[in-house]
Amino acid sequence: MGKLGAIFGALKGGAGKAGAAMAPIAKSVAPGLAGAAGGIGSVAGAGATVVQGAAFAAGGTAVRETVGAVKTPSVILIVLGVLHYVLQIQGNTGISWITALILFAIAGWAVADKVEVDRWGIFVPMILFVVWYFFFGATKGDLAFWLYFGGISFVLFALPAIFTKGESAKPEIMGILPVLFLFLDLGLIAFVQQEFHLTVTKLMSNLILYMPWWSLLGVLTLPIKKDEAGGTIISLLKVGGIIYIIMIVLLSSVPAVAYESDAAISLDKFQDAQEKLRKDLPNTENPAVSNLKCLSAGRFSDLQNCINERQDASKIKATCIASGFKEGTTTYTQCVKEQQEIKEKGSLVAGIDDPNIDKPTNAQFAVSKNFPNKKTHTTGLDLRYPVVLKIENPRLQNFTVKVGCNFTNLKKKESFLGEIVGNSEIKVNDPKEEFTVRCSSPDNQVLNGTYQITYSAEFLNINSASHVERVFVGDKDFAWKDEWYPKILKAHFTQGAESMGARDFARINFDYGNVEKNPIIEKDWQTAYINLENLAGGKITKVHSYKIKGFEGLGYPSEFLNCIQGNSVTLSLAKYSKMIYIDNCDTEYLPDKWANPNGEKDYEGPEVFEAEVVYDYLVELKKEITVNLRKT
Amino acid sequence: MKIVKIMLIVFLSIFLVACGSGGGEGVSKKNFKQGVSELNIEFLNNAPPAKIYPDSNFKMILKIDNQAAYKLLNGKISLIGINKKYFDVRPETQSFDDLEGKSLLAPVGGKQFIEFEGTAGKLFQNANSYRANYFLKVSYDSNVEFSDTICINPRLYEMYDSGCQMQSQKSYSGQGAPLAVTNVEIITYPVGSGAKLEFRFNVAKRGSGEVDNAELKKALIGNKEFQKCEFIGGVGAISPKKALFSKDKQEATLVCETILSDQNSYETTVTLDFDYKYDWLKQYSLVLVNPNSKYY
Repeated sequence: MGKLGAIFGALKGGAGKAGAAMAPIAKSVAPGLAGAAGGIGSVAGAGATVVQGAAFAAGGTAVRETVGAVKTPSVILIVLGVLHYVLQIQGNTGISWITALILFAIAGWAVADKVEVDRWGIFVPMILFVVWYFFFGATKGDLAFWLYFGGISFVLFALPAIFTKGESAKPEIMGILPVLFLFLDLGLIAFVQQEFHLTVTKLMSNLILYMPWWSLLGVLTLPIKKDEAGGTIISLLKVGGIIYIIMIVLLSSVPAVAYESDAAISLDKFQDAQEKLRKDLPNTENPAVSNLKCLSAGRFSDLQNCINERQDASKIKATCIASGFKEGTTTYTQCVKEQQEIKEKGSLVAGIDDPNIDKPTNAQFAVSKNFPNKKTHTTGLDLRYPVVLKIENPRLQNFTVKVGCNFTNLKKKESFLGEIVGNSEIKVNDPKEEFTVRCSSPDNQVLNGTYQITYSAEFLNINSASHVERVFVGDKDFAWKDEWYPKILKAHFTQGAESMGARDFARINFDYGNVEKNPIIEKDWQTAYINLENLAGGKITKVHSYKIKGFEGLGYPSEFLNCIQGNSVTLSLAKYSKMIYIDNCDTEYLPDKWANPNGEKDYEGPEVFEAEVVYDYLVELKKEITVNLRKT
Repeated sequence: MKIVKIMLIVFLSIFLVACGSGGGEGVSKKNFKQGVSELNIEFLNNAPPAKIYPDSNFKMILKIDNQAAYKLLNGKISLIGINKKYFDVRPETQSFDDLEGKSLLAPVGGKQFIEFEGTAGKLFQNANSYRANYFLKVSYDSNVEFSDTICINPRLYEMYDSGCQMQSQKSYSGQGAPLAVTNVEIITYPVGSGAKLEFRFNVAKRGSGEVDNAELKKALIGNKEFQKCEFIGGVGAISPKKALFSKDKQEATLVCETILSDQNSYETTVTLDFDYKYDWLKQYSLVLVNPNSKYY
């Protein structure tokens, strides 16, 4: 605590007062070092004086180094940047907002420290940003606003530059850095990815998951301190920082380019996007850790393979843990084995949200403001807790919803079923429906204390579908392919070759072709990959049937046709994971019209293949309530 | 009164001059066999409509208009890559009549309207729309003629010749077709008492489509055939007089030779006639929209 206090003291006092603020650190560290040195001295007996002297000297150097390093704002930025990053990945959005703003200020200080003249210039763009964000509510503004605000900003930029004969221009430009890093930290990359539907590359996911941006800025602004106190620590931080960046950016993404492939800038939107993407991305081992572990294992010759192996293993581990299995249990081991088998059999293909469908089949519980979170009751019996179930059924499907509820005593960790007041099975066939789900405590249970109510709604026989388009070219020579492939891809596959479907509770993803994600099919072996993706955060409880349509009546072998459809799927142990493997099916057969396209038309297609899945889906809501029994 | 008279004369003069100049660029003076012209292809307005509703019928009407100075033969139109699930268009391929080129007798060139019948399918689930991109491919055979008067001077070292001035290189904008002779280089070699002349003609695509191949049908210098003419380089010559063009290389060099016995400089005509196969391809879209969507 003393050290943290000293750091905050330094922050408060600014660079000039930092020396004084560091005194408590020196005081707190020195006795420990002295004690240690004293210990050594007593063992050494007669030679203690010499050893003690050396130990004190070493201790003094360490203290001087630490104090010297901590005086530097960049070091503070690195240390606090790491702490802030930890808060962020733990999902503490509220606190991380505050720490981000503190770090924004420290970043200004650190950048100012790098500039030799007119340091105050750094704060001009930072203050302008703060004014725009907090006073004008980060408005998109209209032309008049930007003429007014932009004009004043320009004057504020230009005037100092004129008076200082251009010397303040550099610090003013550098002042944009903290603003940029604030955006990056709060999720600029994730925001851009979601707004422009960019494919998430390895590099992008690494930057989102593992880049403590403020610490990076700290590393970039570290000063050169030769022969000064703190110089060694700063050099070590620099080297460490650079190695970390190389591991994150380069080693794990050598073949990738940053982006494969299109508001008012609200930082909340950035954070939401980053949170969402963090949740969606597989929680793999930090590539830097993988690198270090592989290096320490001596796998220098196949470093990349080793990193990939560790990343895959951590992905499987994350899937099984997310499915509710505890590490070390038999079911967990079984889950890992299953996932490994799936991986060996074939990859899980991705699908995308159909951009032409903006109304998916979906449902969610909504809690009203009047929900009785806390109640004082005389008997604790027959208490009712209503929530609303909102259902969107734009395709007018006919399905049944089974609702239920469950109470868990948070103190005693005991659960018991609640009772649904009224009908617990609801038939749905309208485009939008809302039901009040009233959960009542059972007659034999007196509620007293804090409970968690778990509301559940199981949607039975939901139908979701996806589609892909494929072009058949038969046997063509290189010149033809060279001319036509780019034309075909540009005309028919601007949105990619992945299957597309409505963002319902779940989506069936599938691929079909000679090579994964290649929409142009030649006269050769083809494979169909099928899997299911859970999109709504609930649970797929049963798969009744699945089928890829578009191959019927064309002479495909029955083995292939039977493979691309099924009446039920045995859900693996990892059935609650985001992606559920269904099957991979191969065939060499192609009907004549696709194997030998009409010469005048150059190619056949695009042909549409549709996949359909019928499944049950469970949506849950957990709500905490407290009941106090009134004493009579 | 005098001023009024002068103004009247001036006004009448302007009026007469204006009347006289209207047909200055008369058809009778126009040379259609110059510049670059080709077949104009366009869909009529609302055929197909900009938005097509599910389960509806529609027409696609194509207007083809020969702006070139030569007749088009064996014309064929194909619709490639229309997604049949959403749009059933028939026929997918159809031929069109031979279209006369522009000439003094037919200054507007041959025209034709070609119809395709379409039926829209259903959108996928509750999609708002579907855009089906496709290619319209038009193929035809045609010819192009090159003719120019050039000066020939067999005496290489004669600085002062009372005859014409020989140009070693000449450029051309085109001969009224998408394939053109764009450049000629004339190289003279002394042979015995006369000279060997080598003409290097650059034959290149200048239109918006692609030339598949070009075949030399006639090569005359004056009234005589060149002694030797053949395509060199390029993607490949099917025969010495037929060159194959590729997507990346839409030009070829034709080398023609002749030996002259005349000693004096003189002007003569060079005439070439090529047949060629031509393909034109353009991407279009059909848009299927959901009438219940708030966007349409």
